[in-house]
Amino acid sequence: MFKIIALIGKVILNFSEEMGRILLLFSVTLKQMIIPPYEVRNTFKQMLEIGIRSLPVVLITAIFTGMVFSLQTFTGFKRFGAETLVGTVVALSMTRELGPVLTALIVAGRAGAAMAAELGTMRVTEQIDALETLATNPVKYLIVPRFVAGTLMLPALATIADITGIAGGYLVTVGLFESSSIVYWKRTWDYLETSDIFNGLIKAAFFGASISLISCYKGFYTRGGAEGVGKGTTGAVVLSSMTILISDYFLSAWLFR
Amino acid sequence: MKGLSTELKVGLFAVFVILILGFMTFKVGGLDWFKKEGYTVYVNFKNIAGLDEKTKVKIAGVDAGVIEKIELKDGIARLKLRIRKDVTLYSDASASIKATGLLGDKYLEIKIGSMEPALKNGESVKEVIELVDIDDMVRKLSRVSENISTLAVSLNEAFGTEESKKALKESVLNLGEITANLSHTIIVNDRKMRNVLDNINKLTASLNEVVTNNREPLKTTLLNMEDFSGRLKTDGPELVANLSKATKELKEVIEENKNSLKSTIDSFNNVAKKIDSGEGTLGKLVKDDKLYESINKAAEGLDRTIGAIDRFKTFITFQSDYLMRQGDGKGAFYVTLQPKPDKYYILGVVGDPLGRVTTKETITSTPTGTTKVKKKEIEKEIEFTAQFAKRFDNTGLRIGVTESTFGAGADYFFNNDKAKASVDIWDFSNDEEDSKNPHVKVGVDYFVFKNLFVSAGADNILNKKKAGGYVGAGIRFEDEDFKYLFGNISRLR
Repeated sequence: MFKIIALIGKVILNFSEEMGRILLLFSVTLKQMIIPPYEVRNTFKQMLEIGIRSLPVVLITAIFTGMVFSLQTFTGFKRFGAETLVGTVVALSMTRELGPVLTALIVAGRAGAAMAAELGTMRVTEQIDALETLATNPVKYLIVPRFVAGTLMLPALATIADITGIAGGYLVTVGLFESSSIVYWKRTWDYLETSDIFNGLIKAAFFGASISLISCYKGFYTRGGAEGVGKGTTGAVVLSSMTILISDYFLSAWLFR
Repeated sequence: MKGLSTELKVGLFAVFVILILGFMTFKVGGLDWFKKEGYTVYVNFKNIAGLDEKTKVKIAGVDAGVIEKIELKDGIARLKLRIRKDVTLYSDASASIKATGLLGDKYLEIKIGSMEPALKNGESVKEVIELVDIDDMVRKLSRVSENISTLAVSLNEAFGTEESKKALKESVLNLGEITANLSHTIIVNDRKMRNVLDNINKLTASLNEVVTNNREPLKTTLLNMEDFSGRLKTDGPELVANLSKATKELKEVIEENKNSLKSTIDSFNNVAKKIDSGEGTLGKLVKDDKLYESINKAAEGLDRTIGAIDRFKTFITFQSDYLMRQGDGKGAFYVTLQPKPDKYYILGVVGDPLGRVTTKETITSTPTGTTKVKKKEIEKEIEFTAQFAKRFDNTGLRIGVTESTFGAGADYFFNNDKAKASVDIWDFSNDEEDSKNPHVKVGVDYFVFKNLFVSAGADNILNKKKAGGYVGAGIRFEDEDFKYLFGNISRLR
């Protein structure tokens, strides 16, 4: 009996400790971000890594999501004669929800895992300690560029995902079902609002910040050799994905109301 | 891609993303900036169920604008419509709510009407066809059925009682009696009847004779008739087609205007009822011809007067110019009375810093001789302007009193009357030393806003010592009260 209660207590303690550490790392990161000198070259390198290298995967995911979405909604909507609204549905769901969330999940799996593994390896091979002895702040040198790159690149990728998804929907609706292309575009742009696009991008920026922060945290505090690196990487991806999905609900509730 | 630096790649990526984002926002929200073109028109609805902001406004099914704003005003929905610039709505335009498709995607349909004048920016569409409320319709129908049942009851009352049955029976009996009498009469008058019949026989015989004698003419008549019917046969179908087309069109017209017809009939009914019961002016008018005639006369007169007042426009102008040469300001107040668009009177007061120049000569005697000292005194003066102006297309000519001397001027209006170039000449007989030549002023006025204008030009250009530039600004607005004041005066006259 006591064991179970103790277990619950341990889980809560672990959770709070982890949250506390992440928030501490966050505050340190913010501080280091403001203080010069700035790691410009490093930041650009991370942007390339997180943003541009993720582009192919994001493109493929987005176009197929758009395609399958219009495939399903078209057959569904046809049953009550509303097939002209497919463009609206695809555009709304891509910009508000699927664009940011799917991009974030992909980046978490791809770049987040890479970040955690890289920092973890550096930690267990004591490279981070070496940096400190060289009077280089490891947070400034390693985490700030990743954080900045993640926060900036996610909205960019989400924008591309939005337009690609809408184009995918167009391919299926007009190409496969031979619906009118003019109607598709008209319905897409008529009912979409600027706030839909920008609120989606705000969400994406938030996801980018959480992914890079969580992954860096998991890598930075890795312990226990090669096994620890593996655990840290897995933990980074799992925690990032969970954070994305959970915070997505609350962000949507707050932004879109 | 290998040759490109990291920065360049990231930069290219950023530019690409910004282009996409720009394209999307332009497509989605950018329309608003373009839609700001065109003009706004208002329309009030009791019920706009299904309409929303950004809903399309269509004319004959073609997009002609959007609903820009929906407001609730005293329990009535007030829609602000933005209509495309190339679409003209007239004062009898009507609006109704229509739906497309099964899902009932609602839109606002407008019929542009045809009665001049066209609606201007900010005016309202007055004809509104409200949605038909099904509840309302059911209520009306149930009232009708009630009336029918009342009718049935009264019929029943009239014929259902024993009394009425008896009366009916009596009527039938009476009828029988009448027939009997008739038969009796015929029998009694048998001889006379026979005579009548004989006469008829004779008449037929003589008729027969006439016919035999006139066989030929009759034949021609018959032939003519045959010809006529033959022609009818060939032209007939066309005639019938025309007729049926006309009927169809009539039907369409009625169908289209069903609602308005109905409401018209309803209101007629109401009016007729009131007149019938002698209510109101009309009710009394029906009996009193004199009153009708005098009202008719009065209405005619009023109509004429209102027309004149409507045409009559009054503008008030305050203007202030800064004369650079003299370094002084010049203020003016004008009232422009414009009974017709091409004819107007300008009355004004001008505060002129260089009003009157008097030269005083003082002779002082000193031991060395006498010296003459000339002293100029410049007095500010209030001067008056009263001009008659006539406008020919873009050119206006003015003549009359300019700043208290005889003067004339010309205006050229351009850019939709927003700008005006003018030349004024006055003060022909000036004997001041520095300004022997007439006063000539050349300038341009430009309306920056609807009522605010700025002006610039050259003043007194013929007199070298006084010539100089001027800049100024002023406000000019139309005054309704003034207009009606003048309107009333003209009516009293």
